[in-house]
Amino acid sequence: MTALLQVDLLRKRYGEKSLLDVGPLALAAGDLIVLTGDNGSGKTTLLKMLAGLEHGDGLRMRFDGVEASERHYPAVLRRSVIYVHQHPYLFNTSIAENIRYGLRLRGLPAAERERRLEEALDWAGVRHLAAVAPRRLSGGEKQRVALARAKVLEPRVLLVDEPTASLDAQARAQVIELLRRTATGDNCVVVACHDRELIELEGARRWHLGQGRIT
Amino acid sequence: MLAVLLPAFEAASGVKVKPLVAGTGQVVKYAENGDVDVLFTHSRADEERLVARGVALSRRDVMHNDFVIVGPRADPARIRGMKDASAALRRVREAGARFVSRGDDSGTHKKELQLWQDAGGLKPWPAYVSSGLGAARSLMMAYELDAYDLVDRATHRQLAKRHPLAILVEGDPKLLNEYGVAPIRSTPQRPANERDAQRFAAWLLSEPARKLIAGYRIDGEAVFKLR
Amino acid sequence: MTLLEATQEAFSRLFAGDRELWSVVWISLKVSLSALAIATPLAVAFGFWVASHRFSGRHAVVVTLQALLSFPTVVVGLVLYLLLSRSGPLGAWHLLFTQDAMIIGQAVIAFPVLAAFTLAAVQGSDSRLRETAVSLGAGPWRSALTSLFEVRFAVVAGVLNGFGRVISEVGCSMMVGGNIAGYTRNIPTAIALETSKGDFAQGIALGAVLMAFALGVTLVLAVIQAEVKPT
Repeated sequence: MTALLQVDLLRKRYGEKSLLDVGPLALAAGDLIVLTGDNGSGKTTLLKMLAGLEHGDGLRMRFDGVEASERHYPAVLRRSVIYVHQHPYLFNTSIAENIRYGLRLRGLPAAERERRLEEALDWAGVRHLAAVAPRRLSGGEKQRVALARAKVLEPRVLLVDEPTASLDAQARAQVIELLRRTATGDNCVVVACHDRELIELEGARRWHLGQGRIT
Repeated sequence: MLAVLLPAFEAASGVKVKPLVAGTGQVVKYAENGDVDVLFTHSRADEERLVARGVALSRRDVMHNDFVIVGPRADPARIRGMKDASAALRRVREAGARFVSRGDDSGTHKKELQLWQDAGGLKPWPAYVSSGLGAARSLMMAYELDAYDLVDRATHRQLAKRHPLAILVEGDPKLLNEYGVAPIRSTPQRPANERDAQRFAAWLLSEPARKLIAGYRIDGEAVFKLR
Repeated sequence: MTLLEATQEAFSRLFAGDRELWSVVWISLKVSLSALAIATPLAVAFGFWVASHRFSGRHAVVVTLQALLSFPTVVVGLVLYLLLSRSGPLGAWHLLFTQDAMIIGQAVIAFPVLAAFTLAAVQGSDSRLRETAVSLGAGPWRSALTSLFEVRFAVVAGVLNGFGRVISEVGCSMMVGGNIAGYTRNIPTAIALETSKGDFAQGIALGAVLMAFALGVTLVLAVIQAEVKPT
């Protein structure tokens, strides 16, 4: 199986101290990865660097034959790799508008956009929230909306940062159920979580981040 | 002028004067409201009305200066040298030339309206600008806009260097500007310091004050004439 | 005339539709709204740019902006006067004592208010906001627009504050407008004049209109603040 995302080198330093020195890593279509590690182990930085949201001190990776470096993150990766925050930020409009955001940027025809929106609302079980303002949502609801907002764009690589942190048991179960359904078989999903709050996902591989390295 | 007269009076009498400088219209209101003790103004008609109504005790002439009509050197309305100020204003209007009026009920504005009365009444035309500003700023506006203006000679002289407008009409007896002093009557509703007000009025007419007034000069020229 | 009488007279003039009075109100609104229309896009763009870039001298820019918030409007008027005066560098434009000069002056006065509000709002906005927009596919322009849209209430609050500042400022309007009846006489300069003429009723009537504006602005601001308050 050929790798969808091949990371040759990924480095991040804080002053003299090395935070991350990762690679080589390979992600293939259909991969579901649970990334564990302590607080401050660099999980967030790793995911953000993969998503091109944070500049590291060195990055060499290939996505579908396209090269990315710490200086250049090509548009095709932007469109294909999506990062979801631990506490997602929802735009201060309606939930439906949040989900439409990326669809609008991709210039989808209105009919197709609305069809996908409807689908995503059902998929995440947030239809009843479509017209609600984000600040009225609970943490679990926010997380589900954020997943729907990313999923609706059909990313090839989805990077989800500690999605169940500080959620109660019921919300946690709902989010995990969504994550399970996020892996479609032809994308790859990386879910970061804390060691002590391990997310069990069927068929998932486990990466552990410690001392800046993946084991 | 006040800057010379007031310290001299204070030194001579030991009375402290708080000057409140405002246009004639407002000064009249101050007097009616009992906000001031004595008026030193240049709108004889208003002052005499206050005396007639018993607001002021009396009114005495102190000094006078005169108004002039100034304008751009090019003098588009051709009023230079005219002896009748009202006729000059009428010609400014007929030429459609720009004219800056104080428009603030000040003594100067009232003088302008008197002149218009003799010119057949004020019928504003598009270039008649009612500035609502004081003498100096109206004159500056006239200079900026190449307009005519009615102004007291002292103000014109003070601004002549930076805002050179030519004196085009002067010497008409109607252009005389008389300054009078009027102490305010004290009543239970509006108590006033009658005694010191009377002293101020008397002092303005005394020999030391007359010397100061006659000797007051701007750029070497006497500004005020005595009665 | 007592305060009560003057106030009664003022309101009877307001409701009688006194033409001179409402012309002054109209000029005020026209000048101030034009000034805001010019200043808002420039100031918002400037505030956003300063908030989202790191450059040397940035701190100085921020401090200057803050200082300009309480800059005396009459000084703005004085500088503008000297620029526009016939002996000044821009004298050839013949703008002194026109509504255009007042608009320029008020735009200059409103600029720091608008820029400071935008700057503070963008600076205070969540760092995840931009990352979210970028990750969902927004380019630099689009993510900037999204960021601005997210702080739209703060920007509107800035515009309202700017309006409150320019609609009531007298110094600059008096200097560069000249208080010409029916042309550059706005509410504040008219109040100054009516007071100097002793026509307190007209002053109070105009003051009441001004206070109504201020009240309206304050109410809208209160509603907006309730809107943005996180729950």
